[in-house]
Amino acid sequence: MSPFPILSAILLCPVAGLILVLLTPRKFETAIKFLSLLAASGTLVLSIILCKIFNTADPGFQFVEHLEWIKSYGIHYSNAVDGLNVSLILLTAIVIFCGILVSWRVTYRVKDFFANMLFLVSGVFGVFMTTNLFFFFLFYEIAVIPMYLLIVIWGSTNKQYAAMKLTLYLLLGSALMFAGFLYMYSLPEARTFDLLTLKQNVHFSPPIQNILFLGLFLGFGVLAACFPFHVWSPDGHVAAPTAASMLHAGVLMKLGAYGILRVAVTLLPEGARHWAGLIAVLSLCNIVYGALVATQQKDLKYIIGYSSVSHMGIVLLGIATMTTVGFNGALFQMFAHGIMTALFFACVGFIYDGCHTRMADELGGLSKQAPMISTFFILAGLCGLGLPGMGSFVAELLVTIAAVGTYPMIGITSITALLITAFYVLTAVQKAFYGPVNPHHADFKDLDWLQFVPRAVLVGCLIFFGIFPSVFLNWVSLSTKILLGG
Amino acid sequence: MDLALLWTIQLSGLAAFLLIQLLPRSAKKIAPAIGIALSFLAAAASAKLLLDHANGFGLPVQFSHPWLAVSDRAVWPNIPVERYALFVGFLLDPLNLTMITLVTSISFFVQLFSFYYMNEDRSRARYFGFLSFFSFSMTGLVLSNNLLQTFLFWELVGLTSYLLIGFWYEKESAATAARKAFVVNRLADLGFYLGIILVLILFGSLNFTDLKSQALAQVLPPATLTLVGVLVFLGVMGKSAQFPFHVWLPDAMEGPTPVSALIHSATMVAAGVFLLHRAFDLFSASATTLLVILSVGCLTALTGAALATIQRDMKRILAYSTVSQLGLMTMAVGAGSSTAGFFHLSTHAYFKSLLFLTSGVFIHRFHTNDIWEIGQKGGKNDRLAIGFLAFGLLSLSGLPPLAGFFSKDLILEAIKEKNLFFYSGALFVSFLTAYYSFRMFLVIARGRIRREERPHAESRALKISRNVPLLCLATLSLVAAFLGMPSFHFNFEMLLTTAAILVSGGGLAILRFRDPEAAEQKLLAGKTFMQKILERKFFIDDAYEFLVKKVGLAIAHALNRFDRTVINGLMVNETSFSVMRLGRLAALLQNGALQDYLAWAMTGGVLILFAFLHFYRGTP
Amino acid sequence: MSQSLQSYLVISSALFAIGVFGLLGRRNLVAVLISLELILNSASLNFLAFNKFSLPDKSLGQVFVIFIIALAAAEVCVALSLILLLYRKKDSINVEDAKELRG
Repeated sequence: MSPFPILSAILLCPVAGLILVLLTPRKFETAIKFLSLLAASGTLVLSIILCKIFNTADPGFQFVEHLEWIKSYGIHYSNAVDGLNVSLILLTAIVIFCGILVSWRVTYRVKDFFANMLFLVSGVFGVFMTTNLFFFFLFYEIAVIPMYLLIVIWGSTNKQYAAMKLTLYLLLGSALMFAGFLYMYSLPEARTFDLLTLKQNVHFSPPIQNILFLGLFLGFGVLAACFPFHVWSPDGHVAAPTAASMLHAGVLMKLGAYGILRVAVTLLPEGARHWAGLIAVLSLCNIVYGALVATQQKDLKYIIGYSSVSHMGIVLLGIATMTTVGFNGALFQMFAHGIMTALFFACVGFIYDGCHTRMADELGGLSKQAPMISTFFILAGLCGLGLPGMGSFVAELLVTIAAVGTYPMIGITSITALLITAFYVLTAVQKAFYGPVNPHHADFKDLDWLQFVPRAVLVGCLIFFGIFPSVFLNWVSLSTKILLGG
Repeated sequence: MDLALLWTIQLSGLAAFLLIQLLPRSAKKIAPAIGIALSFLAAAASAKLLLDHANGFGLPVQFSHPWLAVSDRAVWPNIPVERYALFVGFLLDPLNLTMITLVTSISFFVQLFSFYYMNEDRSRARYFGFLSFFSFSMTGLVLSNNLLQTFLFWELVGLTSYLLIGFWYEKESAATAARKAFVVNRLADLGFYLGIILVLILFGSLNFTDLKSQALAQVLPPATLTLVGVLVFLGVMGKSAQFPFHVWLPDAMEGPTPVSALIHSATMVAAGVFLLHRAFDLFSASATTLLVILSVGCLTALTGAALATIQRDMKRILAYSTVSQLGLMTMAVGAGSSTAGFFHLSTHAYFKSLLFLTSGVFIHRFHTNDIWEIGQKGGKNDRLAIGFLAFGLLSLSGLPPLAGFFSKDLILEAIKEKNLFFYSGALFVSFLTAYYSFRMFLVIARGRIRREERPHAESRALKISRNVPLLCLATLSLVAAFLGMPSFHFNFEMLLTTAAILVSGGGLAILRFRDPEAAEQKLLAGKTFMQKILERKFFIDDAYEFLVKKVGLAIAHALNRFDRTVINGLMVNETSFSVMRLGRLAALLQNGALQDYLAWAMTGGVLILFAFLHFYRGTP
Repeated sequence: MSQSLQSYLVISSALFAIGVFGLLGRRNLVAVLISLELILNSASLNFLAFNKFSLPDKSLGQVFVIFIIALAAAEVCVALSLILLLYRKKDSINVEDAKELRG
């Protein structure tokens, strides 16, 4: 008897939810919401079970599922998890669960909204769990299209422009990435899209590794908002509706960094070593430049958008160190930043719904009338500025240790971002939440219990992994060790 | 048994914080009771530990648990992997047993006093919650057995300090002061953070028991040792408000006065000095580091004392005095006698928190911080408060046999042995201390009463919660001085010197301020050059403002422009616009004239025909 | 002379050239249509000529020509009705007045 296909089950939960939502008549809005929530809870529960039964002593792939589809081209539906993606599957499940709850207040075209959300998240799950490059590309495209619709239909602030920009950028990235995949496929000894077969059978010569890695890095780097390809992300975050921003910044940006580790570094380790210095410099630009630009923003969402650019730089820096500590830190940062930024957007979205503005100057004194949402925002901010006890601190510590060990100057310079981040986060907090109450927003209501739950879940995750980081590191550390060939 | 006590001390603050947070809104009024009860529990537990220790309970006790593994052969090929685990744990030795007793006891008395002081505040629950969380973080800092855990709680006390300075966040000045405190501390902590990482990478362990001079000197070259020492000292400079990071401390007085007593004079700001003593080997391993510490301490002591002489705000005088006293403690460490520094820390903590609480009594009653106004509103009529004020100020200026005398003399002796130049600086600081202490006392006590304010009617409970902490703190300062004395010896020459300085400083103050109103008139009439510089606080705040606004934010502004115009404008939008332009160019061919299309098609057909004929000529 | 293939081809080429000229040069749509017919006729002539001089079966080319004539008739029907519609809409059958479909 074959074991229960838990990965496919995680993937099929949102797909089934999507089909059920599509079958439900448009007017039963509450039913649609509950169906979506049911699907999201299903994936969340299954993901938690997955993390629970995940064997931390096994460095290879676990829960392998393999279904042959087009044999002659090496295109198979095959899923597996190891240390690299188990946490990201959990992250996606948490964010979509909270995203559905946060979207409870959507009133415009409810059915389409939730259908798009579920469609999007199915694609994301697919990317994270597949081990076939063709399906990697396919699922990725599946994730991009609903994002465009979500921004164009339910977005705000310059949404047409932002949606088009985001989509073009993401497609550009995926085009580069697919070109790389096709090249690998075309090699005579390869002729397959299967990641494991490629890794075992094909030995790329150093010049090919260098060129191919650069191409793949640029493709994935665009998705990870690597400097100077980062401008799509703040604009996209700002325009997207709350839940889409959460998924976008929390999960979609991680796809790029995950791809670098899963595909580029796994298959082309020599190429990665060759370009590591360049990645380190670019990531430093991300970290410091993103933080400095964030100090100049007025819109809370733009502040978070640029802080995401800065924090994704830490992920890239961790990868650039080419050490297990750096990789562990990068993966940890992907997880912690995903949760943190989802929390940020969940808070800003709520404030925007109530006050109809996101400009820090036009708010003011919100702590007085809405202490709960303010507390959540401040907690997210504290996590962002790397306060110990929060997940980000451990992630940044690991990356900084690795970076100071491998690139001392870059590592030391990157620390300054901690100061700049503290400055802009606290300035934003002071403007929006402290000071006298602004009479324009006197009727702003604080969270009710339904809106309290998702934010509390996110905060709980941040604090839990901040205090017990070894839970997380146990998942990843063996796999990252294998990645470096040791 | 002992670990149970330690856990009690460590977790009671957290428990109080969580309990207060979980209280339903209707039950928020019991928050003070929870805070006070649990802080009493912690204080009692540490008193029990102290007694156990006196009865022969063996120290040190250590408990360590791995937290996070960072081993990596690629980065550190030569060092055994198991060393690079980061640990969490306790290390209890006589040093932090003293410190923990100090922290828990002052924390209890301040919470008790807060019941009186914050009686009318609506957000009392939040206040007591934060205060309890501070106790938790501070005890964690003190009990920690390694540098990283120290840093962890170091940041958490910084956070509570931020939250409590900004407790009345509706006030713009309070919110700004809170942010300033956090950011300035963060700036200094960057050095601390980097120092810790360097120690970890180069030395391999962050445990205090491993960080010994000899072990360090074996592994690290002297230049690196100096670098690491100075970097970690940067963190100390931030938290202990050393020059030039002292600017946040006077502004931190925006917080409620009991908070100033607990956090910004007695415990948190002393954490830096505590760390100097705790990881003394890290600093003493390099003579250069010690010299840096000595000079920074001296500069701080002088700056603080000089600025304290002209302030009118009671809390600000005390804040600058704290800066200057912290400078003295740092000097002692720099002179190689961290014991003297730590001894002064413990006595200073008690009498300075006493002074702050006394100022709280005045402020609560007269609703002003200005010492002249307090004098005019009848400050001298509150006999009890005046008595405690005099006691605290005399301790501060070092009158024998009060607490400050012993510890300050010990520091002076240590510095004198080391370096006469810095010794003279320290003596001048003592002179200024005596001067501003007497000035403050005289202005309050000899003010001519113009518009007297009668005290509010106070319940018995409030009176107890006001007076008991004052009395206990005064007593404890004496107890700390007599019990904590490292080695008592009578130095007649030193006694004579300090007496002379006390008399001259106090005498000068009496000469100038025996009639406060006349002094005020004179002050308003015209300011000397020196006074103007002092009022601008030696231009240090201006320098910071210049650096932040004119340099930092200007760069950020330029980068933002760059992002919007070059990256977003030129790179991104221009690419898409040029694609559009190309499309428009190509669209010109599609002009709608049917016959033009036909002509193009014909031309194309003819060209293809010619090409065909050209290339296939000769083939049948 | 009159019995050689060349003479037929010269005439059909001349007809084709006149047709192309008319197709590209005339502005009147009916004239354009007539030019189109000329081109078709030149093609028919070619069929007949090649049929006569190169194939044993004399009827195949003629079949094609009959096809072309039939098709041309159908085409003229459609084209003239379109021209009529255009005239009703625009009051003109000038080609240059029908340029809406452009980039």
